[in-house]
Amino acid sequence: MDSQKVVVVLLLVTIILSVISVVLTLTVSVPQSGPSKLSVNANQISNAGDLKSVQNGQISLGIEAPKK
Amino acid sequence: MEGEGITKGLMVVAIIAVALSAFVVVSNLINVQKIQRLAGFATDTDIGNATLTIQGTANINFSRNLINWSSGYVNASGAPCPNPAYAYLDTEGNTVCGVGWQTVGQGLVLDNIGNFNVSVQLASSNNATQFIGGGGGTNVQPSYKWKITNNLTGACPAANLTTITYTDVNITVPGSVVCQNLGYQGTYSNKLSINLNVTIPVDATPKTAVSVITATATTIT
Repeated sequence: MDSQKVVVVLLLVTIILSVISVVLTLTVSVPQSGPSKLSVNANQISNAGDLKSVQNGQISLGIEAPKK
Repeated sequence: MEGEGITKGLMVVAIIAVALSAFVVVSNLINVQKIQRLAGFATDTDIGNATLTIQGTANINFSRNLINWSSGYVNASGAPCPNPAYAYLDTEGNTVCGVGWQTVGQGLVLDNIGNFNVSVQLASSNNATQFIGGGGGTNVQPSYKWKITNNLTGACPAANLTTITYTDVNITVPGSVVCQNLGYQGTYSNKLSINLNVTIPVDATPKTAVSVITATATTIT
């Protein structure tokens, strides 16, 4: 009798675990639509760098009155 | 009889467990097939092409960004200086009829540190009248000029250098195209020299004058 009870308990545990597995499997979201083939959009992976660059240089000059 | 009942109960429970397990297995198999399709699982009959385009990036830098002649005045004491007097300064080591100004032996240096050839435009924040002034009456007119050459041989092909002799600066933004095809770092030479000269009439108003040279680089498409 004891062994039979153990078997029953184990089977119940198996059922519980199976139910959990089913729930988890159904919970995993798998998109049902979308591209069926791998596609790569060049615009998305290109390096959209700056097309212009601006920099400054400076010139300094002091002008004094001519000496007599 | 009691033993048979228990056995039947165990069988029912076992059948339920097997059925649930079978459902889990089938469900997982279906999901794995879906994921394989989404991930582009290749087979021996599939051919895929991926095209990668890298756009050029314009990036310039003044590796020498400041010219300072300091302060000085026009030598008006007569010969050998002209009358009416004026001084001439440039960034190639020349100071004529000027007193106190520092001799400058190198102009601005502009580097293309991007990854693409660029065209370069220059604009000045002020012209000769605004920067220097003077030139009234019989005095010589002030002048403020630039000259753009290769700092490293081949940086800009000779045919693309448009201002290789001293020319009045341009104050219209974004300015004059001075090199139509400046090379970039890592391939070949990438530096331009921007030399300047000024003519200062004796009647120029004493002041501290500042001029900003703005370089604009645009990638060549």
